Amino acid sequence: MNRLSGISLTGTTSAPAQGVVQALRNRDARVLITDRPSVWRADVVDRLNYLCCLPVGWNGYGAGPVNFNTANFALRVLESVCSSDTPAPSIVPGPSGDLQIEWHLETGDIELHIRAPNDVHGWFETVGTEQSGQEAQLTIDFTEVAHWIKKLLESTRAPIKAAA
Amino acid sequence: MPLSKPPLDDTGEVTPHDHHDISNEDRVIRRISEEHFVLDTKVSGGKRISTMAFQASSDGNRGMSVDLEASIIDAGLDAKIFVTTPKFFGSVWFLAGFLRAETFMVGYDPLPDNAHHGEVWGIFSKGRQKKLLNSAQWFVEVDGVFLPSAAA
Repeated sequence: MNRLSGISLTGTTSAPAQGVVQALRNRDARVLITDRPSVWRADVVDRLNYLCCLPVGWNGYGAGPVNFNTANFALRVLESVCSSDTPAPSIVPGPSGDLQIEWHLETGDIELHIRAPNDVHGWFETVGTEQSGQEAQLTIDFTEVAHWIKKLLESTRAPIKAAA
Repeated sequence: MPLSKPPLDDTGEVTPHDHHDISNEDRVIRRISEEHFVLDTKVSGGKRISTMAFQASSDGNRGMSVDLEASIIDAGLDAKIFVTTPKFFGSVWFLAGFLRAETFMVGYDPLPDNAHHGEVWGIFSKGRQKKLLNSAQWFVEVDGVFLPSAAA
């Protein structure tokens, strides 16, 4: 059975590792790239593995489990856009092997509907704005999502700084 | 009275349609799985239903699956028991007329294991999904899960 794990994904992520690439001193030296530290990474991997094993009909209407490739892509997206202090996302399965990654904080909301690898609809809304949110179709470039997350976290921290 | 047969395509699959036997006053029920719950620090209790609970299938002619309450009742069944058996966590309802006003089509798509199965067809944009979430009413409530209409 396919399973997401730190081992299987090592080397496949495009995210820059933080100070974990070791200098190559000779031909026998090993170059090690390890996963980014994140308190919730293991929980996310467990959740994605669980969603890939959902029974057919989990939603009451015949939906199947989340597609493995879609789950794998979702993990790579998270590794690319999240920093170590990004809060854990909620991950919700869809009716067609798709899934949605969501953050809902006091300051706003982000939803990434991952229909398939490289086929993502992103939506971002901040609380208190009259606009109905920003939307983006995403394939390989998730810079916009990283900005959304940064904006959400900055506005979450702002009241704390002001109160300090 | 049982619903009349829905239109089929060449492969025998139900095609998207607005069924004339489903009146605007009829309630359509959407089952909610516990997998649909997300954390949201803005809501009471911190847990609510995801917009993903109101997503159409991308398979063939499928839309968003629902149960047709009037059809269940006509068959002499208890709708709350029907949509909760064997394991389903909760459910919400909409009036068919509300969905039609949002330019969705509400049709009949009986399945081998659910003779009261319907579909809602249309464009499930994020704005519409949020409107569905905000308009949904509990049919079988799940304790500790926030629903905007219940809080209003």
